[in-house]
Amino acid sequence: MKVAMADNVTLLSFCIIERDSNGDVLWTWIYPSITTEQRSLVTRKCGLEGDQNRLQPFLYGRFRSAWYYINSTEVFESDSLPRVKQFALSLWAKDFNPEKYETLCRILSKTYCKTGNPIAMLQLYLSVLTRGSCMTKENGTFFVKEFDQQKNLVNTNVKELIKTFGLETILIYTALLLKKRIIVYHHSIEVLLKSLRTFPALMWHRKTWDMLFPWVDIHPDELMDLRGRQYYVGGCRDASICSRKDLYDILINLPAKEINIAPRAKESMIMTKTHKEIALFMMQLAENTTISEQQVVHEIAKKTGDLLAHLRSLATVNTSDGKPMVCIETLRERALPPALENFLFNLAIAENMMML
Amino acid sequence: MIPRTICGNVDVQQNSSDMEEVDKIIIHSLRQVGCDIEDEIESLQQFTTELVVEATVRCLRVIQPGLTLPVSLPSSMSARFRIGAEIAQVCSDLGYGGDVGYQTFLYSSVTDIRKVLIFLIEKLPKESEKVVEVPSGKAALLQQSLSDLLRKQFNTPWIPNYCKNKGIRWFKDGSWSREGYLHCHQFYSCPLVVPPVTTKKLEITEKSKDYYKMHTPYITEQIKNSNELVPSLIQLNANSLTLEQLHSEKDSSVLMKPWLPSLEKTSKLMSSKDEPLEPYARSLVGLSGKKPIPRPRPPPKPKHLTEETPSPPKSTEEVPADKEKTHDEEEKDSEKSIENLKQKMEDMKISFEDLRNEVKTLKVKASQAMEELREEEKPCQEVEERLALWRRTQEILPRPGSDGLAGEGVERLKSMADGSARRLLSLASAWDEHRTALLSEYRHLREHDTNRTSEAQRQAELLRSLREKTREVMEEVREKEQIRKQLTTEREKVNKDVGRSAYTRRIMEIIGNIRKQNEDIDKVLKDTKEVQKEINQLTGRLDRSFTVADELIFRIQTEEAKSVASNLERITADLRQMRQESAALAARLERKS
Repeated sequence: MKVAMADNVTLLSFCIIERDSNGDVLWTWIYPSITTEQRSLVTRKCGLEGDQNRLQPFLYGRFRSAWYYINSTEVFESDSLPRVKQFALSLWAKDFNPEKYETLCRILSKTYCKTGNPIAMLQLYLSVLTRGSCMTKENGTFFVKEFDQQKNLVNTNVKELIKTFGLETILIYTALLLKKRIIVYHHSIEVLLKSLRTFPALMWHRKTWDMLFPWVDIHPDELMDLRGRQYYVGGCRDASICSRKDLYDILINLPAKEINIAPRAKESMIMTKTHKEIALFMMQLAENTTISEQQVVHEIAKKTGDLLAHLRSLATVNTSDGKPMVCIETLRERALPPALENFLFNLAIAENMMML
Repeated sequence: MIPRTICGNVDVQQNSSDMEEVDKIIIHSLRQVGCDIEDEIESLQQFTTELVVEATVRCLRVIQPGLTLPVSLPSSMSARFRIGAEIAQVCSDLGYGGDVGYQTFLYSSVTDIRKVLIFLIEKLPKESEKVVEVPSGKAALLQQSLSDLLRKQFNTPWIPNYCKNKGIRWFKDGSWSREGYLHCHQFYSCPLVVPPVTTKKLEITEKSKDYYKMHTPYITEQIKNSNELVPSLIQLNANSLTLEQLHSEKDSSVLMKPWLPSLEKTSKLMSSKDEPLEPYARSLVGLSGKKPIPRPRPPPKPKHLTEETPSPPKSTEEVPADKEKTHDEEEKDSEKSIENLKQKMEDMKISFEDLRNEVKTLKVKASQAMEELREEEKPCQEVEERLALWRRTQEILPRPGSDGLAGEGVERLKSMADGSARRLLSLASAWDEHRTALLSEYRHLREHDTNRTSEAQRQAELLRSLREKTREVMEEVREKEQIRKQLTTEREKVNKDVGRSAYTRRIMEIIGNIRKQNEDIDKVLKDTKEVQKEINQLTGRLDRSFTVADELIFRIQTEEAKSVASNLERITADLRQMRQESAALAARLERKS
């Protein structure tokens, strides 16, 4: 019961922004409340200002510790919203679950279109909030439970990624493993969002989206989020991010299919034999057409597990909590080649297993 | 001795002999002053312009010593004019009453010159009064120049410091002097690096030579402030002098200044031999220790050069030996210090590496700590939230001991949730009424506004087009006006010759003629048409009769074939007869006509 309740309390707020026939962009409904920063962020991202004809697809991103989902809808003459041409529904939630929120947004938007009355929308929202489900006439019932977060990880594109970058995928893998700051660039927001979901899949053993920032614009508010962190995977559709060397250790340029490493991260990204093995293994997996996406993810996770097991074997010391830690001396004793030693050192720090 | 026969307001007589006398006196006086006048010249009439100017200038120089007017005239006209004017100015300054200008000297008339020269000669001081000193000796010369300068300075008015650049003040004759003390600055010296130049042959290595050649900046760049240059140079010279003396003492070479007693100096040098070098040694020691490196102070002013404290003289034999010993000691010291420095450098390198590693580990530790903090904060927050939730549920749940069951609690919760949801909805709907009303009003007003603006735009367009039109019409009107004017003027021009009625009459006549001609033409046309009609009728009739005749003839031919020949004969005979008759008629007609 408690867990279910906790699940339901993931919704934070929702708001509607309309664009009317006069060309004004107005905030028409907010429940319960959002901060000024969130407001300016959504105004920036909803895309209602400017070009009238382009309707944005379902978008999402992360700001501070909350996730926002924006669904844009075109209003037709038949709908009950007079003088409104388009509107965007923005939903704020604590968890990352694009499918769930996309469905919910769509239901809410449709209701709003049909009735022209936000009260109906509010009813549905409150119902989801309190009960975890809501009923609509056309779309049937919506259950929060159907959208399990674990299923999220299925919606990935690891094979595509490996095929695109070939052997260089190992750089992405290493960067994720060593908890570096990664920025991904693509000019189309949909492709960007889709590809960003793949990255956590490579680190299956961590099972968290905490480092993901799917959509970052070069704006001080958003950059502040990034600056405070040592480790993130951020997506940007502004090409000038490539010149901001202070924001990334690795830059992945999707349209150009290039990976740039910032100078200060070069020494930790030196490749060793282990890396080569893993790279070749990943290539094999990608070329194999018989296995599914999920299997690929699992196989990579297994490989990572092996690597971590090897690291754990070096952990000779135990902390007060009983956690195995690696000492520098043990590492040096092994007399490994310097690149490999450096890599293991950084990996241990990333996995919090280094005794300093 | 200049005879004082010519005095005060001399009434110059036009008597030539007197004039000759006066001239002679004047020339004699001028010769005494120093003018180079030839013996042949005996009257002022013979004086050339140059001579006049020379005479005047020499007299003025004697009267006002220190006057810088040239004796000879320069060639350029403007310079001449200037000098003439100056001389005139000086003369009038002296008190000459008459009218004097450049023309007096450059384009001279005898009487004017005479008057001026008389005046000047009167002004000449007596021999007895003038003390002509022949300066002798450098000290006397110095004093002389000092007094000249002071006199010049006293004669010029005081000006405040801000009119003088660094205290320099320019005089009229081109010279300058420094006044006041505001331009002075303190004696700050700083150490300069110059290649060593000593009489003793020190070995300068190739590297040092190279350094001095290529890398040493100019002394003007070695100082921080331009005011420090001169003091630094003075200090440098003084230092090198003392060093020189030290070395020279060791070599027992020629001593320097004669104004220092030799024995005293050596003793003083002995006692203070380390003074110039001590700071260097101290600074070297400073490098080797872990304390901060002190800036090498410039060596103190060689006080022993100016001091005169007596000290017991030491034996000269000890002197050279001690000197040699100190030189070796110094070398050893410097070698030792170099070794120390090298050692220290190695140590510092090691410590630097250690520090760097430490910094790295600390950084990593810091990041780890931050991560841990974040991780610990998260569950902390969750726990807090859960606690708040627990408290709330506890408030809602029935107290232990009452009859409520867990199921009931859940039911109550649900009903409460529903109730609050309903309340929220009612609030929201109430709010929504206001909201939609306001929103629609806002939108309506905006629309209205945009409409108005578009309306306004349209009106503006209309106005603009109307304005265009009016402008065009105005243009046209103007053009027409112009044409009208033109035509009226033309008409006025033309109107005087012939009246308008003549033209109109002629026009009317022509019109009448034309009308008549038209009528005639019409008549003729009608006649022609009728004739044509008749012709057509007749032709038709002819054709018809021809065909009838044809038929008849054909019929008759078949029926009366017999009578044809006789008829034919008869007819041909008739025909012949007719022909004859007609021929006769024709001939008669011809004869008649």
